[in-house]
Amino acid sequence: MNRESSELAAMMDELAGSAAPPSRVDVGTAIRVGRGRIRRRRVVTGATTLVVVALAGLVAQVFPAPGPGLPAAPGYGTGTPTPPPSRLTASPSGSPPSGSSQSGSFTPPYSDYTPLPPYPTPSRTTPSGPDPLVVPGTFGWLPAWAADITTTGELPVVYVSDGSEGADRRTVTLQLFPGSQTPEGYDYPGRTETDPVNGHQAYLGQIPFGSNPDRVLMWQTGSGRWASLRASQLSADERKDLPRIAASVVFKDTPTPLPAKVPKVPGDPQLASVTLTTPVNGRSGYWSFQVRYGQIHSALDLTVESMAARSTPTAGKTASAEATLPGSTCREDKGVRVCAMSTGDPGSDPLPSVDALTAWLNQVELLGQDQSNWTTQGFK
Amino acid sequence: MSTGKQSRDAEFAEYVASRSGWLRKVAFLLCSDWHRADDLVQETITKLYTNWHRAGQAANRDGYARTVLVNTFLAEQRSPWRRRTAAIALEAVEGGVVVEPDIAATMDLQQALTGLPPRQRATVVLRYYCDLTVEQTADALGCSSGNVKSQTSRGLSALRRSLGVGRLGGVEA
Repeated sequence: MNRESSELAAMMDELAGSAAPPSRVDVGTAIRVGRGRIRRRRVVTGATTLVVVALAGLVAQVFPAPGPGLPAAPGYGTGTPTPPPSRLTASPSGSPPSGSSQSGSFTPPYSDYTPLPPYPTPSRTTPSGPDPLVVPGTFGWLPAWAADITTTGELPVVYVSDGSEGADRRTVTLQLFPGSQTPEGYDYPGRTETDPVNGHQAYLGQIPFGSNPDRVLMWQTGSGRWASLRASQLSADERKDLPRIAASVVFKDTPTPLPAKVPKVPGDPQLASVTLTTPVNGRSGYWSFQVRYGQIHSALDLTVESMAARSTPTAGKTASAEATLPGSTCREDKGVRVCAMSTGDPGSDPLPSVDALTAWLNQVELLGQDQSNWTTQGFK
Repeated sequence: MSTGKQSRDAEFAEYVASRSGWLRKVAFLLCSDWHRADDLVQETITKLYTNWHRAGQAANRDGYARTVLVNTFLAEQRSPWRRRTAAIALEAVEGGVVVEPDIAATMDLQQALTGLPPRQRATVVLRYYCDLTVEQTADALGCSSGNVKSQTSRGLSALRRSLGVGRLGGVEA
C-alpha cells in the first residue's frame, strides 16, 4: 500500500471511529429473529417438498418414465440437477480484527431480505466552547422505564434508554433536523398521519426491521424545524407514550452541566467528542462522562464516572470494580473516578507524555456526585 | 433448549461480540449514517445466525460476514424507495455546519463517499478500508477484476474531485 493509499485508509479509519453513538446492535434480537426465519424456512421448505412430491407423482402418472432402451424425455430424468451459478463467492480476504487467512466459497442468503429504509442523517459539528455539550432539547416528561439519557457534543441527538445492556434494551432517540432539511421525502412504510403534537403536523412511520420494527414519530416544532422520536424495542403500550414524550420536549440549545472542570491538554490536541450519560426519572447512581481528544490512532480519552453501582438489570458492577484498562492513569475523589488513557504513542504529537498526562489528570477538578454542583464552564 | 442450540448461540454471540464493532464501522463507511449502519449490521448478523452452519463451513467467516453486509447494503440501495430518498440523504450530509480543519477533512470524506454510487463506494471501502486485493474485492462483490479496477478508478477520481486537488493524488486503482 503506497503512502496515498495509507492516507485514504487512515482517513476512513478516522471517519469510522469518530462520533459513534451508542450501538443498537443486539445479538439477542438477531438470535430471536433468526430463529423465526429458520422456522419459517423449514415450513416453506416442507410445504414445497410436499407440492413437488405431489406434482412428481402426477407427472409420473401422465408421462411414464422411459423404459430400458428409450431416451429420457427432456425436462426430467435421472440426472443430478446442476445448481445455478453462485451470485458471489468469498475467498480469503480483508483484514478483520483477527485476520483470518483461510479460503473458501459460499452463497449468501437473499431470500429473506427486507429492504431497509434510510434514516435522516444528523449533521455533525465540532464540540467547542466552555461547555461543548449543548443539547437541542430537553424532555419535560419521560415514561417510567426511562433510566438514563445520553447526549453527545457533536450530534444533535439525545438518547433515552432503559439502562439495560441486554437483548431487549428499550431506547428512544430524539433528533432535531436542521432548518434546511425537511423530512417530507422520508416516506416511511406504514406512514400514518397522527394527532398533532402541540398543534403541529405529525405522522408515524416504522423501520421494517426485525420482529419488533422501530417506530418513528415525526413532528414539526414551533420553530418550523422537524424533529423525530425513534423508538426501539418498545411494546405497543409503551409506544402510545411517544406523542406525550414529544409534546413535552422543549427545543432550545441548552448547555449541559458537566461533572468536571477539564484543563487545557498539553499540546492542545483537537477536542473530538464529548458524551455524558446520566440517570433520569429521579434515579440516582451510575453516570459517566467521556471526552476524546485527537484522532482515532492518536487519541487521548478522559473518563469521569461515578463509583456507584449501576441501577440496571446487569448491575452489580461499580466503576471501581471494573478493570482498569492497561495504559490508563486513574485517580478517585468524592465518589468519582477519573481515568485518562492514550490510544496512541504517548509523547507523540498531539499527545502529552506520560508524566505530563499524569500531571494534567491531577488538575482535572472533580465536582462530585451532586449534579447541582456541576458546571457549564467545564472547558477552558 | 438443546445443548447443541445453546452451544451454537453461545458461539454466535461470542462472534458477534468480537466483530460487531468492526462490522459497524464498515457499515458506517458504506451508508454514512450510524442509525442505518446499526440496521445494516443487525440485519447482517440476523442473516449470519440463520446461516450460521454455512458461515462456519466457510473457511473465512469474517469474509462471509463482510460479504453479507456489503450485499445487504447494495440490495437496500437497489430498492426503488431507497433510490428516491438517496438524494435527500446526501443533502443531509451536505447540510453540516462549519467545522475545524481536522474534523472538516473527515466530514469532507464522508460527504465525498456519500456522493459515490453505492457500488463504487463499496469497492473503495473494500479496497482501502478492508484492505482487500482487486481479486478479493471481485469475489466479495461477485464481479470481475476488471470491473473492480474500473469502479475503483472512477471512485477515486470522484473522491479526488470532492476532496480537492492534491489529496489522494497517488492512490492507484
